[in-house]
Amino acid sequence: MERLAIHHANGMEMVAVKDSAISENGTERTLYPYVTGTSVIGMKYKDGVILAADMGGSYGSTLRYKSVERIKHIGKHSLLGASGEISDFQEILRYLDELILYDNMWDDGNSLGPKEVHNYLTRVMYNRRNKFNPLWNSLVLGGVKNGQKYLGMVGMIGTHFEDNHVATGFGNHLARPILRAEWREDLSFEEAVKLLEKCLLVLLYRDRSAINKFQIAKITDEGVTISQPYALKTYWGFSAFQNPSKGAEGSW
Amino acid sequence: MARFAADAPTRGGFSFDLCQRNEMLLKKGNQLPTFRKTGTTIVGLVFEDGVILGADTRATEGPIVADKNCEKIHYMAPNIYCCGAGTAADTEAVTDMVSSQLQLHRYATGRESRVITALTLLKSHLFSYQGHVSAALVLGGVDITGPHLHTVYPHGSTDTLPFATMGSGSLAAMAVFESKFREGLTRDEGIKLVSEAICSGIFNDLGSGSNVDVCVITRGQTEYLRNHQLPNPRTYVSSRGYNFLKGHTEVLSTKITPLKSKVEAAAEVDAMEE
Repeated sequence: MERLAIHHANGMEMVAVKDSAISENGTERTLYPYVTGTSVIGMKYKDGVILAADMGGSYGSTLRYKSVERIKHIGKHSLLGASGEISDFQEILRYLDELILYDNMWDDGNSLGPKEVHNYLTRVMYNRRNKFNPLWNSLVLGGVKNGQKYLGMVGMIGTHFEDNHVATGFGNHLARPILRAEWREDLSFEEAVKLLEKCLLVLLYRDRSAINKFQIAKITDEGVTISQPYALKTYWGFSAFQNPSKGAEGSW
Repeated sequence: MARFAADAPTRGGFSFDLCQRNEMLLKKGNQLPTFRKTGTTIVGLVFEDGVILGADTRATEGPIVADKNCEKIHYMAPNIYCCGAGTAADTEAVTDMVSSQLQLHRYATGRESRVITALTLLKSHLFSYQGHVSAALVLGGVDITGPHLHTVYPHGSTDTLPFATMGSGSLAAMAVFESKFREGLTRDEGIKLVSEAICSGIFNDLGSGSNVDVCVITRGQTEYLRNHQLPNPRTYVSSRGYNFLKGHTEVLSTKITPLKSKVEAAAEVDAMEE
């Protein structure tokens, strides 16, 4: 945890620098996240872009909130999914609200597409990181404008890139191998949902902060659809789970 | 160090006496040398006739690949094999040691070794070293009581599972297993799934790479398929490989020195001693 030292020179206190970590009111920059959301996964499919995330907000190791919507639509052409600190996600939504509002006020027939929103988010995240006060999120930005599909990611330090399929948090380790092996250019909506659910199931089994309540959001040229929350079917019926120490009495 | 009986015989094994000195040196800034880790993907699964183990073949020393084609599936008994992740020296030493102990036990009992015997020997050894022996193992075999698959962690805890993965690539491999495993796989399906899981680790984890080793253990027969898949071949720019034909290199000058004129058979020299 970096702390800027406040030097005393000749017994006089230096004027507190604007982004000093410590002031009389306590620390003024984000050091660690408190209420966090876990992975978001997204991929392009034939007609557009599809995102999925669960609805859990963990407070450390407690599952505090179970109806957090971590995917929101931005303007007409974009979807934003976020993992990490929930309050920072809400702050980002406010920034984007203002951005879209100003864009609408121009009333010039143009509207901000996913590429522009992605670029704006990159600048915001990178500038906050440079001031040692990051927005503690990994963002997934997907959208379609004029038939062009777009899917990108921005991290909390400003790392950004575009790809055919993305994942944040634990999804990097568990979902990405599956997506790399099984994603294709021309997936239909049903196939894309099936592939996404495959990844979500693995995350549900193996990520301790995942819960069995998901939302899937899709965006096409026609518009945005964010599904109602639903659950996946898990399988626990392996015979080895019934009596694990069957052949090995006394072991566990 | 408190001793409950002043005249207890000195036992062999690791002496923790130097730990205080090591800590003091670390505080002074003297770094311990790093050890070679296997940064690995190892997997095992139970299929209808027995157990299949799989491993990648890359051994890393920090960011460098120390061994491109090492063997991570270790022999324990004719019907029991063990994959090892963690510090290479620790996995080698502990599996060799338990393998010898199992052999002696076979001589004493006159019976085939059981997987839980190997399991108990491994876990009690690792527990007594409190996690300092950094060996994470996937132990599998088929004995008189059936097929068994276990994972052993460095601190000495174990799990009994239908499918298991360990090492840095374990999440990538587990993603494949969780989405594709089902009970009662045939031998070919099992080998295919194991290879897929190891390949997932090889291509998605930086600590794993090179080739796929597979070991199939069934009642009465074990097949060790070393380098079952080689998905990372050396690629040459030319399809013929490196093959320098005459005429590829421009000859600037030639000087031939016949050696025969230098060597003179001295007639007066005696013959060599017999």
